[in-house]
Amino acid sequence: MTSAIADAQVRDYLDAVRARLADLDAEEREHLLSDTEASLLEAAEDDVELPLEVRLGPPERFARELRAAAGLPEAPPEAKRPGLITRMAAHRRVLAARGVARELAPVWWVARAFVALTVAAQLFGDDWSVRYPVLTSVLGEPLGWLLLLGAIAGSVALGRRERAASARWPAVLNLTLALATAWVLMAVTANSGAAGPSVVYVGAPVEPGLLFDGRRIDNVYPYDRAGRLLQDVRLYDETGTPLDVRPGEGRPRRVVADRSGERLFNTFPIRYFDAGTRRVRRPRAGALSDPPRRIVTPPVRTPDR
Amino acid sequence: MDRSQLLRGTLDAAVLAVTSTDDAYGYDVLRRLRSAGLADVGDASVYGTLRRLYAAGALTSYMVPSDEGPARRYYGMTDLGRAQLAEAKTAWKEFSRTLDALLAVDVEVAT
Repeated sequence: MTSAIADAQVRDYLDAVRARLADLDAEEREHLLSDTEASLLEAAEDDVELPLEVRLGPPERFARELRAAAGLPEAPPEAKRPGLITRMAAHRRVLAARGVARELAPVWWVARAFVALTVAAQLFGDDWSVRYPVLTSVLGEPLGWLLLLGAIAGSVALGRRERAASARWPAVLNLTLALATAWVLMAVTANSGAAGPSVVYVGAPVEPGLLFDGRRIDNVYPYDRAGRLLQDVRLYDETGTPLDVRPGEGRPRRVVADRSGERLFNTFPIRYFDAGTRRVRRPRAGALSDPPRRIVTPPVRTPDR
Repeated sequence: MDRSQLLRGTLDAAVLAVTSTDDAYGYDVLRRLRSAGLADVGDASVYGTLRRLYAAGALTSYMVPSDEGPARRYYGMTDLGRAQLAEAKTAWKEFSRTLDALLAVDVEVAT
């Protein structure tokens, strides 16, 4: 018998025995099983062509014999054929996963503090942060950070007590917060979709030019406080990018240049030429037939250059 | 008579006896019992007995890493274990003397 097969056989056999000791406390069970495992592995190598089941009898009987010899009570009747859940819970992989979960529990303690605070803030009518859509807005403020630190400290303290005692309410609390986590995740996903910048490609490439509320704009006519139409006003967006409108096909227009000779395309209104000439068609053309009313609110002062 | 019935009452003493000379791990104990002539002693009975004696304080245990597999749990005697073994020896001597006598009488009667 190669040792790999022997190992696998022993593990399967042990799993079956373990399932029938599921009602014992973990220390007792693992003690019994660790002796058994080490010895069975060695026996399997020493010995025999015989499969374990033949040499040792069925795992049920082995488990019964172990319990009797160790002076432990008989398995409760329902444990003779433990339910699927019990058997799964006693499976070594499940036990290993629980070990990992136990080590990762502190991460959950921190996460649930965050979730609890987020949900509480939202219930009290807080908004979502605009810049960081995963945060509720109070977290952008010193108060929010203090609350979060407090919540984490409380959650960790609670977690350490949960480990010590096996009360039922932590399960309820954790389940509630797990559901709340799902809700926060959904809300956050929805927010980041709405608030974050997104690029949407709709078949055709984006056309160059100006848009206002999604509508194409051909020209911009600025008027000053007095209602005078301004000429050659240079427009920039908030990042300093000139709002250039390049000449389109078949619409010749007047192009402005600065002193260095650079051509400017962000000057408004755009003045188009008469077809076939280099003369501006309607130099006084504006958006309005009558000038807009004079502005009476005092002007904002900007220093002269 | 079914030997396993006899064994049931005396396995504690047998396990203590083979552990008293040298510390041993589970499979060691089993091997020693079998080579001493208890061929039909069951694996599970031995491991269960070791655990019970350990829990009762008759044995101590310590882990020794093994090259070939999982760490082995070695068992050694405690003073309590030695006392228990001495007691078992006395009890067995008396019991077997009594039974020898009884069975000897039976045999004489039968023949």
